[in-house]
Amino acid sequence: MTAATRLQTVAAIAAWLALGLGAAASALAPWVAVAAALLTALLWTPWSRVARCVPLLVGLTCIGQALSGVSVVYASAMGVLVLLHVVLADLAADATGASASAVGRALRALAPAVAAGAAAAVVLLLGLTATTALPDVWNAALRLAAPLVLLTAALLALGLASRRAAWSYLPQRGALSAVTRRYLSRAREER
Amino acid sequence: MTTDMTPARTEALTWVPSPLTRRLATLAFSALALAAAAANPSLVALAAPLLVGVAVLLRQPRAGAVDVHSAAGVGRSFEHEDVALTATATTDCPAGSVRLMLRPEQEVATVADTVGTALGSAAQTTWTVRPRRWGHWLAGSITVAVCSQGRGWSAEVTVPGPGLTVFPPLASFGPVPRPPWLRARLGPHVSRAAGSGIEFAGTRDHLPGEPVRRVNWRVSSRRGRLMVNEYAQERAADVVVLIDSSSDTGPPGRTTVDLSVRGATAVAHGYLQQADRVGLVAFGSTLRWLTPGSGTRHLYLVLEALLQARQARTYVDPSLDRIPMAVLPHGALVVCFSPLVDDTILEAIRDLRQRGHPVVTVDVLPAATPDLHAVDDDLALRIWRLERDAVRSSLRRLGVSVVDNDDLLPGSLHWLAGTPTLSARHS
Repeated sequence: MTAATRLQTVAAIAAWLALGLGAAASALAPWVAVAAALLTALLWTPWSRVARCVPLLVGLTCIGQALSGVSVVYASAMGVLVLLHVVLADLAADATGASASAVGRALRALAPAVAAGAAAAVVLLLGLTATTALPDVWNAALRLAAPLVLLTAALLALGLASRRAAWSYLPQRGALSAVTRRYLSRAREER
Repeated sequence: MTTDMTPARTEALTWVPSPLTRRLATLAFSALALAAAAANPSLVALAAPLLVGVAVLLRQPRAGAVDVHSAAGVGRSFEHEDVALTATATTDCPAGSVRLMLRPEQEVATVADTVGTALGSAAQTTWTVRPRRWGHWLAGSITVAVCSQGRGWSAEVTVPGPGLTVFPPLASFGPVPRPPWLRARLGPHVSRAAGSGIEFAGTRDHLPGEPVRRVNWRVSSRRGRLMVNEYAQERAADVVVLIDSSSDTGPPGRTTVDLSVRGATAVAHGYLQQADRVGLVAFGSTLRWLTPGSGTRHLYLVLEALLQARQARTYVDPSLDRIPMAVLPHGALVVCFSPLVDDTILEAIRDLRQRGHPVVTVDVLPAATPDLHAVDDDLALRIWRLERDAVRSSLRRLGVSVVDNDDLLPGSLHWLAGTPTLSARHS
């Protein structure tokens, strides 16, 4: 078994687990999950264009299952499994003919993202568990503040990711650009 | 075997979110939108790992530039001959994967898969391509797609591939017809005149001063007087190929210039194989010539000159007067490939006949082309055919052999042997 086939197998298993969890816990008909699970067989085919559509299909099926009513614990586990599936399927599509050591190096580069995703799921679960124990007043306040906090966090994350420093912090007082400083000093001299 | 090396190109990379990032983001934002619409916290829990995963993937380092190097296995090849192309791409910092794709030009066909992918910061791929037509071509463009180390970003650059020099095919030949006039120079043709060759021609009486080595002792003892062997004179032929590229009509791959160049290659290869001298005059585009020479090196010089036939159009009137005397040796056989639609080439053929050259003209314009069948006016078509017949007749009256393009047989020079010019023996 080549390294690419191993990756495809692990990716398919992750997809089956996610779909299985969804089928077990959701009100959606189980045949939807079975159909999606059967389509993961395309991962092993040489048609890379088709194989690259499988993760999207699996993810959307899981979203459908979560929408029809799945507990938060199950949904978090499904999220982590979908993340693992999408990442591994993408790597497998490029790993045809690659050596095991090259695949190992690529996996090491992907591991932080999957680990961070799993950690985020755990933190979210703990957070939700903690908030359910709060009094109703606190919950109402949290419900109002949560979208703002999430929006700010998303903007900060995007700013950090795109390496645009201006997004990650607010401009400090007096921190003017070089052009503005030159213009102001010239205006002061002329005055 | 030569290698056509192209210098390495360093291309700056412009990064955009990779398909993996877009896929994860699509799923996450779909889940979040549905969560907001349906007030369902489970969907937020499902989206959270995907969003955090995307954020971490986008934080991975990215390379600034990629070095691309491509080379053709052989610098020179022939039509429909497989050529190996090798391409290498290396990024200046660790990368997730490097993919090389070849987009071949129209004149080049690919034999196998055109995509090569490698995980890591370097990729090397070998493609096999098959040129369809003679000429100077680019093998195609090479697209390098690079993924950042965490596969969160992707970038794509396209560079031109290596150049290919494609010669017309050299077919195998049967006997090559002997030209009517031969030069008094050592060559492959045995003359009727006695001389210093190695072919036995007969015996004669010994003359004082002749070397004893030539004495035929067996005949001498029979005749009772000294007899010596006589040998035939060996001679070489001069052949000049004249191609007319002033007009180029016909379907791609079967144009008049294509047919002229392939025919000229066959003639040059046939005569050079048997150690005759071959020269070239290219008419129509810029006037080019090549002094007659022999050997494999000269064959490639002829082929290189023929490749220029399709290039460098000019309005300068070509004339044989501008050609040095050495290019058209006295009595050299001239084989002319022309569509016979331009007066200049007809004048040149008349000029060659007046100089005493035996001339064979190949009419490379097919008599029954699909374009001609499409002509509605039958009268115009008949007049055109009559005019062409008149041109051919006038050439025949001058002693020029005119050969139809349809009579050309690929891989042999039998068509040349059957012409009246070469059937008559002069020496």
